Formats: sequence, structure tokens, C-alpha cells
Amino acid sequence: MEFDLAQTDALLSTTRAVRKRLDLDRPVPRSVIEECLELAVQAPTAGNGQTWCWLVIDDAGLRAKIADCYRTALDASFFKDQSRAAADRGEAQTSRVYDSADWLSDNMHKVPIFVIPCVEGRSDPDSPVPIQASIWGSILPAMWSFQLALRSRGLGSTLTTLHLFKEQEIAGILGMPDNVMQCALLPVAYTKGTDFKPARRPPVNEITHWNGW
Amino acid sequence: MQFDLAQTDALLTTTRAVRKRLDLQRSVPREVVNECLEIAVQAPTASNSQTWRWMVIDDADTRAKIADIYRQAMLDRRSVTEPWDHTKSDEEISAQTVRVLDSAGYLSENLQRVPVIVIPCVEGRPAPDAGPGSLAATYGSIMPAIWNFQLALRSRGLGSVFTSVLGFRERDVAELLGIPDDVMQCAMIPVAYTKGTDFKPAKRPPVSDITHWNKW
Repeated sequence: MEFDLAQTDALLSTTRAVRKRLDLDRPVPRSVIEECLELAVQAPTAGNGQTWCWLVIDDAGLRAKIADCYRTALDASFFKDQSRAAADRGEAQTSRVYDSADWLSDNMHKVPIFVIPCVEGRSDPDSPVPIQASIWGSILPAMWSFQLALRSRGLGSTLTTLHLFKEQEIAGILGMPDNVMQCALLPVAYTKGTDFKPARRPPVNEITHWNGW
Repeated sequence: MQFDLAQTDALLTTTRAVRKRLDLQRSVPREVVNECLEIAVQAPTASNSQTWRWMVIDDADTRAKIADIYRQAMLDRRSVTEPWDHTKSDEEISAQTVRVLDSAGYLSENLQRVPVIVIPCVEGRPAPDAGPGSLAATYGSIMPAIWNFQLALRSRGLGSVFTSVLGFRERDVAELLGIPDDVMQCAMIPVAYTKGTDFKPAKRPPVSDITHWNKW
């Protein structure tokens, strides 16, 4: 197959972490989520394990409870402080990211869908890098595919991990067994407009090493 | 922007882990790798950290040395149990998985012949007592970029496969390439043009089997 790079490059380079531009008023049909999950699980897994499972929350009461966990995982002023500190360092892009994260933290409960990608089995912090990489490398590509699929359909999301500081509490809320590891929390909604641009990045040659460090 | 789903869905569903269909005869120009890396680093990182570094090896001697280290690492791997090793009984291991393992054996024997090897790295390592939040942030800041890189390769007629086993010999690789200690090697991605570009979506169980709405 010949790909139209104008299409595919645009998808890979304009799928941003969306927070403030999530449309909190527009409902998301379950069928769109299911369609994007079908695309997501085409991603590869270590040893073809496919030990993933996907928790999707659209119930308002449950979303409010999980959003509480998310908001209280850090000090209320954490993101504001970080945003200011980044601005003081002259890092405008990072300052905006923290400011946007602060907004999300306050508005999380209003986002119509939460997706919590999980894997069976736990990552032991003592495991060596290749084991960790296999575990995370068996769910994060699917998660990113899911986010790309959402973007292609006019939806947006952002990978968040803060709720993992309260993973057990959330497992209790959702009735999850202990041997299932939550890997992230993706708030999902349609986006306000679909014109997203590539992010500014330093030239790739500054972060690439050919044949030696 | 309105996406042509016929194009974008095809990319997301037909980017397979390619090993036996890597074209070992055809060389890969550096520009293609650079172009795909430019797209790769459009992926997000935790708190916009962008601590990624990309080791790219196209020198034949260095590739041969990495292939030797890789085969040692494969032996190391056999003595370690991974969480999914016991999730399925022997009877349940599918024909699909048998093919994957067979294909992995082929890669191990032929790695030195793959024209380009990419080792995505991050500066810094998670703390020894890192909780799941910290691990998720660390790996969540490199794996999306790696997958984006693999998708960009696929769109240009190249293939690749995510491997992690080389990490069992991370120090040997660091020594060979002069990678500093505080830089973590996250994977090893062999890259080549593919023999043909007609890849199909993989067979997967229905999504309803692995999705839980609002409760477990």
C-alpha cells in the first residue's frame, strides 16, 4: 500500500496533548470509543501477550469520584507553581503545559469519557529495564494508537499519570482486582476545532547520535 | 483538518512487528531515518520534558558487535520470568504466538544484516523505589515517540520491530557506543525497507472481551 504522507504525517505530527480544547459539552457516543479501541489493539505486545484491558468510564458519578482522586493527588498549587517556575526559566512551552494541566485538574470531572488502559500483572519497581520496557512497551503503543485514532475522528485526549498515586483507591471505586495494573488515565472528548499544529521541537540532529554517543 | 480514515486507519492497523520481511539487501538513506525521527518527537512527554536521545547505528562493524551482544542478551532473558510468561497454558499459546517466537529467532540470527539499528534512550533513570506513577511518566515519555517513529517508517515503506532484550546487556552496549551511565536505553529497533508493503491487520479477539464500562 502507498500511503498519502500528507494525511499520515499530519496525523502523527498534530496529535497533541489536548486539555483546554476538550469540548466538555459534547457527548461522546460509545461506538466511537469502541472503534478507536479496535484500532488501538492492532499495536504490538511483547511475546504477543496482549494482556491489556481497557476500563472506560462515562458514568458521571464515577467520573466525579475519580476526578477527586486526580485533583487531590498533588498540592492544589503544584501546577501553578511549576508553570510560574518554567516561565521564570524562559520555557514558555513548558509553562503553558503546566498551566493547561492545572486547568485539567480543576475540570477533570466535566470531561465526558475517562479511559484507563490496564495490563494484567504488575510492574515491579526492582525489575531491570528490559522487563519494564516490555511491560510498558506492551501498552503504551496501543495507548498512543488509541489517541491517534481519536484525533483522526475529531476527538482529543492527553496521557495523564497522576491518579496512579491513588491507584488503590480508584481500583476500589471500580472493583478492580489487585493483579491488574492501571497504566494511565486518558480524559477523552471531542475537540473544539480540529486545527492542531505540529509542536516546536529542537532540530533532530541535536538529539541524535550516529554510531557513537 | 478532515482525515481520510482509509489512509490513517490503514496506517494504525497494518503497522506490524516486521522481522522476516525486513529487506536486508536494500540500504536505508539517513535522510529517511531523520525524517521519521522528526515525526517521532512530535509525540508528547511528561511535563514536556523531551529527555529523549536517539542512537542510530548504520556502521556494519558496530551492528555486528551489537548483534553479538543481542544474542548474549537472549540467553540472559531465558533465565528471567516475565509477568505474561504464565498467563497462558501451553495449549492456549496460539499459532500466532508461535509465529512471533519463530520470527524472533530469525531476527536474533540475522540482526547484524539489518541495515539500521535504532536505540531510543532517555536521560535519567527512574528512582529505585519509583512507584507506578513515576514509571508510567518515564516510559510514557518515550514509548509513544517510538511507536510514532515506527508508524512513520511504515508510511514510507520501511518496517521495524520493538525489542527490549538488549537491555539485559545495557552496560556492554553503553561501553561499545560510549553512552553515559545516566542515559537509559529503552529499546532496540531494527529498521529496514520491507519486502513488499502489503501488511494486513492482525487477528484480535473482539474488543468487547477486553473492555469494561464503568466497572470491572
